[in-house]
Amino acid sequence: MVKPISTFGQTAFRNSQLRRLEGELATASQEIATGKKDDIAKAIGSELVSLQTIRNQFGENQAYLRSISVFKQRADTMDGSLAEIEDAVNSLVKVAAINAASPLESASTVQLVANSAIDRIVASLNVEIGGRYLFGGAEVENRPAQPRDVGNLGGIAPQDLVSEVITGTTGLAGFPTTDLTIPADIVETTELLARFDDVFQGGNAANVSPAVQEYSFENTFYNGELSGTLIDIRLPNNSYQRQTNDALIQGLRDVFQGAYILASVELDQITDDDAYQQLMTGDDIAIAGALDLLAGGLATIQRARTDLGLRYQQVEASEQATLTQNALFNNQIVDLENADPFETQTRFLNIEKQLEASYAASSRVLSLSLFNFIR
Amino acid sequence: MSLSAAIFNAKSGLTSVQRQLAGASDNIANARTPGYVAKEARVTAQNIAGFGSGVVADVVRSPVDSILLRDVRLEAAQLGTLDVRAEATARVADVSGDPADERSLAFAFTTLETRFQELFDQPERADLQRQVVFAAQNLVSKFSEVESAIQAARTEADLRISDGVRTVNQALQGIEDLNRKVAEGLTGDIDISGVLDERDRLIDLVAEQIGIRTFTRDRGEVVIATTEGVTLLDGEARELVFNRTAVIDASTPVGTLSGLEVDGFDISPRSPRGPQDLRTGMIAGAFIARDQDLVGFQSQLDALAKQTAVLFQETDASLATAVPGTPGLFTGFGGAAVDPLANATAIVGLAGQLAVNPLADPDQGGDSRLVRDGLAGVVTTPGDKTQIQAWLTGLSNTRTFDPSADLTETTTLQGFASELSAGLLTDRANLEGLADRSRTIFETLELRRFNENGVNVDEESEKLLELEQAYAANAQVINIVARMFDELLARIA
Repeated sequence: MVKPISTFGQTAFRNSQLRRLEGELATASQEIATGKKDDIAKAIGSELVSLQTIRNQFGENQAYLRSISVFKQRADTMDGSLAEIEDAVNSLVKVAAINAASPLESASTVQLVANSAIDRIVASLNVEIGGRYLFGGAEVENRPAQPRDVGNLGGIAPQDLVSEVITGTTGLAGFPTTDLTIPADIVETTELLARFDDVFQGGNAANVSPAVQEYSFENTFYNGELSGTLIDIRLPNNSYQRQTNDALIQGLRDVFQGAYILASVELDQITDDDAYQQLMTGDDIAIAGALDLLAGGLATIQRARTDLGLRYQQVEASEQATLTQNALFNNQIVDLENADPFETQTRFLNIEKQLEASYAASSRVLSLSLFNFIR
Repeated sequence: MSLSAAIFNAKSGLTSVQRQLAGASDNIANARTPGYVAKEARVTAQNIAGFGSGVVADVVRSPVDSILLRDVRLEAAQLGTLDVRAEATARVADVSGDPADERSLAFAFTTLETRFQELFDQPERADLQRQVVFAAQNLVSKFSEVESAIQAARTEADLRISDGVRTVNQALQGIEDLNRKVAEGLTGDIDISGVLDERDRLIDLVAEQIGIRTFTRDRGEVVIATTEGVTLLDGEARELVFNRTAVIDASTPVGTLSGLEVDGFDISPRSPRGPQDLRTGMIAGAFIARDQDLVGFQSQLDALAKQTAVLFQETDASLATAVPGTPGLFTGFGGAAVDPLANATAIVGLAGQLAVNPLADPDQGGDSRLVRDGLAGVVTTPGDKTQIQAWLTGLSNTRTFDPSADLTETTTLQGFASELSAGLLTDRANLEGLADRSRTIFETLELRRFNENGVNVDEESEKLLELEQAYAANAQVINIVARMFDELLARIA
């Protein structure tokens, strides 16, 4: 004999089934509306750690891309500044080279060109983005190059300092008092070049006397960080691209030294040929003349610029790799998180049909009663 | 057969029909009563000295399939365990966060790292320094939220145990009383089907809370024991003792929380598990959630909090010249530094105590530049990023976590946080999946139980029609016999 089924059991079972179907319908509806899986943990299980890791890396990569954007903006600006510096130095080198052996008619203009070159270099070095100076290393809030006619923190302006060095009126610093504005012979030229060397190549800066230290490239001409960072960036995998400013600083020392020599000496007044040539081209052994300093400094700056360009290319390559990786991550995130619209839609329709059928069946079954047919 | 015998038979027929009608109407009235066991009629022909002398009908409770009942109750207990554990884990997982919505604990580490990355590019910017402080505060808040969720879930589990124990004790008392009534009913030949239904309902209540096995003695008394063999009721109900803890926080050790005792014998689920520790039922689920699942998450969270604080201490170069024990960006208990050598016991509750060092927090009068320079003081060069790089490197490097946290031991902070968050969600999903499977089995068994012992209204309606006809037929017999008597008396007169 077939055991009759329980009316209550069937009703409870139908209700339970209907609740389950309604829950599934709500889930499918949510997935259609948002495009995302309703319960990712249930949907992907153990891959959840991968999803979290991918999302973390995606977020980090976005930060790297923002850093790369900042780097490129800075590098572009710095490259423009270095190009301007090169141009300024080249202009000076051109006119100085013409007068390298002996003062020609254009010798009188060298001073003007030198001053102009110095101003252009200073302006280029003092470039800033959003109030942040680019060429001062960590000293981002101080202009790196001191303008010729503006006093430094100690009150001395570069052109005054140079004037004092060359005329020997260096009072507190206690330099020799010989005025070398127009060197009379090779000895005076050598003395002149040595004084500039002390100022620009670190001699005075290393002096024990604070007063002498003031007469230096480090303390009057350049306000930035020495042996600091020219530009840097943190890239994926905690790798760093860093270019120190040592090369550029050395180039600037030389260029400024050469330019200030030419800006302070009256070339057309020098009558001694040996003294003149010594001033312009030095000797072949130990002493570098103004022109040598300019040419050498220019080459060093160009190397620094080239180095900057190479790093730019490496960062660009990293940018491409990061973009590619993020595109890949994005696809993986979509795969893991997003609900397949076709599958969801089909599921929704199936559940809808099933639910409609269940409602209809429930309604029919509930209205079925023996009494309806016998009364 | 005499006319008197015919009347007697018809009368017994009417009585029988009335009894069956009462049974059918009881069934119809209780058709939607959960746990109600349908009554069925046992109709017997009466014979006296070989001659038929009417009919007798008894209405009895239909037999219950004890194996099926056992399975239903065992599955109910299993479902209860899983439901409670899933609910407790879900509560914490919801707060810990979903990887997709970028508010997970793991993403808080990513945010902190990206804020440091942005500061690395422009270390002099005060707004970016504050962004780092905000990210650190966000991380600390996340730790605190998850920690609070864990403790709230533990407190709730404790309350659930307390409620469950009260339910079980009351039900056992009720069953003890009903046992006596069953015995009396069997002795006095009284209908005890209602008593049996009520007793089954109470046993079902106990079975939801604790996995049980039952057997019935000769006098109809039911004996109840846990599936692990601890007797809960045998003649007299044994009282389950549990003392609720009003507020549980991370510093409340598992050992100080109440166990579950029966006559001084602890049957609460413990780790490692004893042979008579409860395994199933809502009470067991709540114990496992309170003392194992949630405590496990707490250990993981504390291990992560410790390494977070220690990383920012160890990689802070400025602290090298500071007084030993000076805290870094994050402070631990009471605003102090976190001991890198502290074991798992010493850091219980650290996650809820982790805070951003007030020295770096402008809202507390601190200086946000310290997130650039290190907590021991501000350096003079605004573009100096040496310390930031050290912190970023620290965040990228792997660290060694306490093995008791039961996750990957050597990984980055972010990796550990990812495993922790994902683990919570996966545990929740797994427990819910197991509970769904258990629910399907339970509902199937329950349906079988309903079908075995429930009421089918149509069947009862059909019976009513038959009984109506039978009643009419018996009444007709009486009517005819009465007419025959009348005819007889008329002729005599």
